[in-house]
Amino acid sequence: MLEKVGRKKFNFAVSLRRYAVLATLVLLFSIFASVERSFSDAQNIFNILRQASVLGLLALGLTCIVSVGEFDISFAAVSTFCGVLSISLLMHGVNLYAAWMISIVAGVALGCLNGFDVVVLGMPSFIATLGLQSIMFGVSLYITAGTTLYAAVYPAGFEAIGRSFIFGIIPSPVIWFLLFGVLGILFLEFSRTGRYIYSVGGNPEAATHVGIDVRRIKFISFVIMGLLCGVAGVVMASMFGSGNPSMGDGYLSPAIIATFLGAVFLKDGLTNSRGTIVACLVLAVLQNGFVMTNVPYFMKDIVQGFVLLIAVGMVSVLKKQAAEGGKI
Amino acid sequence: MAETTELVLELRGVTKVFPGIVALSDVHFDVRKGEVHAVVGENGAGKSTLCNVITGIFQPTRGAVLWRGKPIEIHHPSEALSLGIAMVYQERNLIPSLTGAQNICLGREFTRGGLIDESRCMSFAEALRERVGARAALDVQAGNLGASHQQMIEILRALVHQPQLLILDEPTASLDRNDIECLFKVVRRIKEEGTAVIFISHKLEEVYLIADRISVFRDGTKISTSAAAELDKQTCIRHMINREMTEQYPYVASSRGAKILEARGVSDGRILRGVDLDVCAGEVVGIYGLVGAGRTQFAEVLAGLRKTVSGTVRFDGKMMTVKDAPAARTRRGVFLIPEDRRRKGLFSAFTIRENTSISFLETLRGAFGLIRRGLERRRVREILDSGILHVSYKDIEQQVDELSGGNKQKVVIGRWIGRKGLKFLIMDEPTQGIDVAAKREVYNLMRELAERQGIGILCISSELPELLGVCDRICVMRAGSISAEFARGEFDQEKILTNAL
Repeated sequence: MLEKVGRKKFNFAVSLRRYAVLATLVLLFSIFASVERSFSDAQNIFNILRQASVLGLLALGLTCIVSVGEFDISFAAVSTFCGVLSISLLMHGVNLYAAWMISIVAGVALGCLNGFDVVVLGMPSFIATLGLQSIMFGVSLYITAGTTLYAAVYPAGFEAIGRSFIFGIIPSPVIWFLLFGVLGILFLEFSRTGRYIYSVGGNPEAATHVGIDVRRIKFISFVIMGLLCGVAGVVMASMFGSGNPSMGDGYLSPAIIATFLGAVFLKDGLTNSRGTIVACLVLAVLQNGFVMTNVPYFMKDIVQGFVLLIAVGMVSVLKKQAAEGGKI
Repeated sequence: MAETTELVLELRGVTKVFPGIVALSDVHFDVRKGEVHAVVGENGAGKSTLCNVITGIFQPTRGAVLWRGKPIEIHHPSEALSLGIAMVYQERNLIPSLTGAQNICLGREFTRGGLIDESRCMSFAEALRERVGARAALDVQAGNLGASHQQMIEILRALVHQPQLLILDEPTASLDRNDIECLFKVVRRIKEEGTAVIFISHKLEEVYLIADRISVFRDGTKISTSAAAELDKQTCIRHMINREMTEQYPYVASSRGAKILEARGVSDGRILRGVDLDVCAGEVVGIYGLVGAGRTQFAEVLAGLRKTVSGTVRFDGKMMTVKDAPAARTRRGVFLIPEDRRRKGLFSAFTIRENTSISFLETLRGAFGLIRRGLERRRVREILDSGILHVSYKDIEQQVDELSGGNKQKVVIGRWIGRKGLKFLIMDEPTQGIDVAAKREVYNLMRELAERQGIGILCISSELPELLGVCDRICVMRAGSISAEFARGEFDQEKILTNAL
């Protein structure tokens, strides 16, 4: 790998590679802003941030999982379940805070279950979480009877976490995104457990030799994913004011795309929180921009796919060239 | 039959240089039609590089390869195969879910109407098996076969290509005596058909049973080639080991402290059969043995990476149980520097800083459990720049992959030096793949750790001179147990090697 310390010399190829995602964000933003003036209004910018929020929470969790060398396909179904559960509990007259707490704890418990399958039973994580995805989708269908659940009157404070505005302009989900984004960066890049997560993902055998409990670190990653699913679920429910069995589906592939797109930001192919956050913003800008400029909605999915392929493809080629041109 | 002198393959002055290491130096080597030419030598003598040059995995830096009298360049094993050079590797390369016959026909399946014709495939494999008189089950999934059947299927698969030269790399490594006899029958049959065989081994007894000629390699040079009948075993051993003892090794006797390791009857139910070993504080103990003798397995038992079925291990008088995972051992000051740095030692995606500090992150904990980056940098620099290690690097934020082999090894060692409470260090092939100068530094480091800091060191190596130079005591391991032990005053290369073979 050619990650020279670029303090002395500016290396264009390396910079291009490391900041490609950020450049994409700026480029897309400028294009949309020049086509549609209201795109760059403060209100729309916050709108974009709001759209990135739930996506960001889920993608940050997935970043932990991929960094530790595993995968989770159940996160969308789990967060849907947590959201649906919170609405259902409120409809049954459960106290607001208790409902939120129970839903988040349910997310954590499901994360533990995934962790158990992978770490204790030794199941491949893709299959373990695929199973849970199907189960939780079914459970959400059962709870909602296949329709959208909503209460006629929600308790006071229900809107606080998903629908209200801080200082009258910042949508509350953005606060969660900001909070967990900062925590995610600190945790993965500056904490001991974060360092261990990367070491287990990078070389589990070497990690074992160093005395790191590989199983514990993997389990922790699944628990974190579960926690973020829980939070994303209740925020989603508050944001929509309702719960339906497919409310989280739309986040499944964008969150995966954001995680892997983010891996080419700053680091060469290592999933990281900062990259994930920037990538979520890219996807949110795309989504919002196409709506604002009246481009047919399907274009968002097509462009989103191309952005991933081009960014990761470019980094792969540059890395291959560096490897061939460098040492034997 | 074997006396024909037609050369199948000839190497003229072949040299292969890797950065920092000359793996083969001006080697002249040839193989005749219908002979078994054994290549012997210690680990790292250049045997595998020789094969890799012949099969086109490596291109020689200098020199020529002649195939049936014509100079050729082989760029890829598939080119070698189409010329008629087939190799059976030491590691098994079978597809476990396919049967023996399917494995043999892999890549040249018989088809009928676009579908694989299983019965023709089976009869083809059977015919091949009968021709060479092999014993191998063809209708059983390869994954369910024993070592000897798997080996035979690999050989049959190589024979499908009707090679004129067959290279067998340590073919007897995992076989018992009966299986070896069967294997040799097959090899003799192949040879009678006119195929030349290169037989790589370090088990001399077997070599003498099968070889027509023997070439001895040492340190990348060919020492001798002679007819097997004309080379007696003692001379052969002397050729393998006869190296000058240079000033390379800095031995000063250190004062021996309390017993730090006490292993009794350690068995893992597979390879290890009752290993007894003691190491005292301030002592460097070497384990010499051939690959497969159980050296690495023993190291893994000590580090808590491998389960035992019987025997006890005590560190500092405290009994270790099976449940004491690596983390528990490192807490007690027992560290392993594994062989195969790239795979087991380094985090290649990490920087030098991250690779070094990984073992003592808990001492860098700051507010909210975050790592104190400044302190981390300072500690890492202190360790790497210290008199004992002095790693040469540009910046601790460099990727660790940019360092040379020797410096990578020092980073791995530095990891444990930085961690307080180091008492016992297990080093598995600590100088593998690093250059001479760096080796010397590693030896110095080992002596310093033992003498100045009273650390007990267990050094596993297949390079005997290195052990002779640096150890206070050498234990020889053979077939899963300690076969002999030599104190420094009694060191004798020949005796040690004889006990290992």
